Amino acid sequence: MDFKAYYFIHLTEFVPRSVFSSIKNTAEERGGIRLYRNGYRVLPYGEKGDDWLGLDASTRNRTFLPQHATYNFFGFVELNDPEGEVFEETASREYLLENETSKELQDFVYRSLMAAVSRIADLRGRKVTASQQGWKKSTDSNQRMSAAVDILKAATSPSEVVPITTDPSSTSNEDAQANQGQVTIPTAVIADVVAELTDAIADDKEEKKALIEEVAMLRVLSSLGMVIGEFTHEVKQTLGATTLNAKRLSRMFPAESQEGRVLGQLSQNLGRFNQYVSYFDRAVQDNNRRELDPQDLHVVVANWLKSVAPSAERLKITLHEPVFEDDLIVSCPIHTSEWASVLFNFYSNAIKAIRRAKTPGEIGIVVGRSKGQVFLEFSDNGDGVPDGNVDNIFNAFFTTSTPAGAYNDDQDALQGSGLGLKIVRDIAQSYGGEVSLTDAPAGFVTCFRVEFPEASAELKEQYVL
Amino acid sequence: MSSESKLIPASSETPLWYLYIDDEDANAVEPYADEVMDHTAELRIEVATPQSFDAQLQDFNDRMPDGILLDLRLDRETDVSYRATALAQEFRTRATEKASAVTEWFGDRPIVLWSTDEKLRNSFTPDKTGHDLFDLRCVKDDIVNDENKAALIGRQMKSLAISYHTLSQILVRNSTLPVLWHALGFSSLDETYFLDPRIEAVFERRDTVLPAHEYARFIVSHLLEHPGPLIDEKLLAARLGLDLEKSADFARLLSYLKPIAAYNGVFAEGWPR
Repeated sequence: MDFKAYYFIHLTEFVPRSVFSSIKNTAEERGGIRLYRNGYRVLPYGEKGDDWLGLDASTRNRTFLPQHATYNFFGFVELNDPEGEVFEETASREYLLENETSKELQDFVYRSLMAAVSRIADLRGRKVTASQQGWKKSTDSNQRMSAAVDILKAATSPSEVVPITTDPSSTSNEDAQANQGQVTIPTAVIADVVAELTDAIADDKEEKKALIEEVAMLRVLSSLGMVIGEFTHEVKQTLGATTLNAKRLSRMFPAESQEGRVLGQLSQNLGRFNQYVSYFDRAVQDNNRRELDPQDLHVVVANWLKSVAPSAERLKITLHEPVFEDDLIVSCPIHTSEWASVLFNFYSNAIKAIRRAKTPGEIGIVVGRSKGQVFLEFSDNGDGVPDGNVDNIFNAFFTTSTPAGAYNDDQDALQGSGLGLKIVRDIAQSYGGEVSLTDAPAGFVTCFRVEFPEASAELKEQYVL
Repeated sequence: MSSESKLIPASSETPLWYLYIDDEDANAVEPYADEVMDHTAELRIEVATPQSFDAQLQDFNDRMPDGILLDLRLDRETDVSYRATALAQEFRTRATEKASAVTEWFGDRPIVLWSTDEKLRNSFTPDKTGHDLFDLRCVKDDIVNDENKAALIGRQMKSLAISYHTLSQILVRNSTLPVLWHALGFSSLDETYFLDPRIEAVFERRDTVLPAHEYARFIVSHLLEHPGPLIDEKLLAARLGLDLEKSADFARLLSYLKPIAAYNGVFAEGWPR
């Protein structure tokens, strides 16, 4: 048999925006892997709607993450079986008769495609499976030092050893014995080791510098967090009192009167303000508690959307109704403020991307659970993450935000600090979860997926009760 | 209970009043008290800042409010160094001593806690041992966000004040009927036939005279807050197999049942059962 396929990745980073949807449509109509037998097309392999390789099913499953649906491929399988010995057509001339060989064919084609897709995804620096652990792109000083050690080990292994030639004039036994533990190592090998170690030292210095900067920034942020906590707590009393003043005042006038209308509006505005502050107060206060609670994502997302609604409205961003793939989606115990941090970081990145794209903004959230994890996918239709940055966006201090000018206040400086996604990653990883860029659903451009372990069965039971 | 809340105009004769101690500025405190008063007939809440520990207790003794209302933190904006729990504890101790005629204390009163602390929401129901210091705990935010909540709080505070007086009177009367049965609205032992006598046994073997708050805490936390011999409307509907939202006639049903089965002992106005 012969087998050839072209792999198309439908992302705006590869395809010009103007032709993106038409290409995708064509792929949906005509894409897939066709099957030819003895020169004749066997239907309906590769027809629209056919999924003989299980590519679409696998995509829906979301364990293998890079794009690999039917519409990502244009290709064919050509079977040469003139005697009809191995493959048979069915009487209705649709599909091949299912036998051992046809199943093997299916399997082979699927796995070949997946192997290629994996390789490409790896090269692109993208996460390949949902459960991929230890996914690390760069070499670091530790690896270099290990490499140096390996070189030395290899050079000093018995097969490599070149014993020092003894001085023929010396006949003393002691001399011979003394020389036995010594070896020569070729200068080339030593040069290699030195090179690796030098690089390792340089890398180490860089890493340490970065870490020190990060620690300093985190210290600033943590004390800021404390200050915010204090502030919201203090503000609440006065804000609550002000809201009540407005409410009581508005009740003293008939609703239709001018005063009544203005005061009614004032009450509404203050009420909203009060709720917003309460959200933060709750999130920050929870930090002081020792016990963490399992987090019901229905509640977490609903509360967050409520608090962010005024901002989204102001920025003319549409917050789509969140999609929950299950009725009860509960994450392992996490601080409320950490979930808030994750969502706000995603949100702030989305806002910036949307601004750059100069398009009416849309944000979508999908929440679900699978294989002991809960996930939240946060999508926006901003300008997307350029391929070159994909590796870097989770690194500390990488930011595409314009650097804060001398006259910008601290708020601006922090927003573009470049720590947002790193913090999200740190939070996720500290609980045994992960955050990654994944393929955005239709209508969106960028999608961040954060995963956390699911709450254990006992915790869920307690929670529900 | 009806979900309509009515605003009650302030009346000049307010027989029941709470002394509200809060360390925050009066401008930031009074609106909360005013809102609750707006929704509750004949309840007055007077705002004051905390004095030194001894002076504050003396103040209670001198002015004899019908109830005490405390903010959780009293030590933030003022010079005082104690918090509500300490003050409440001392108050209860003196009331207990008075019950055994040890001190000149004026009596026992409901102590209500208000706090800006959201964490309080999770522990809103009184602790199960019934030895909690506070008769009622509220989160201030509820008063701001929900008029029904404000009305409920006012109703319960008023009920607490009235019933503490009732309890105190029963305690003084020294009749043959045990205090608890009296408090629950029975006039003779025969009427209690359908209840488990162990309910009263809690108080039977005590050597000393107990202060009102012991009975109050027991009744509220064990009999009113938790379903048992007494249940609320929601549980009643559930037991009868009724969906409250779809049963338009429920009010009529209640009107038949109330004369026979409604609870009319202490705290009934705040905790209808």
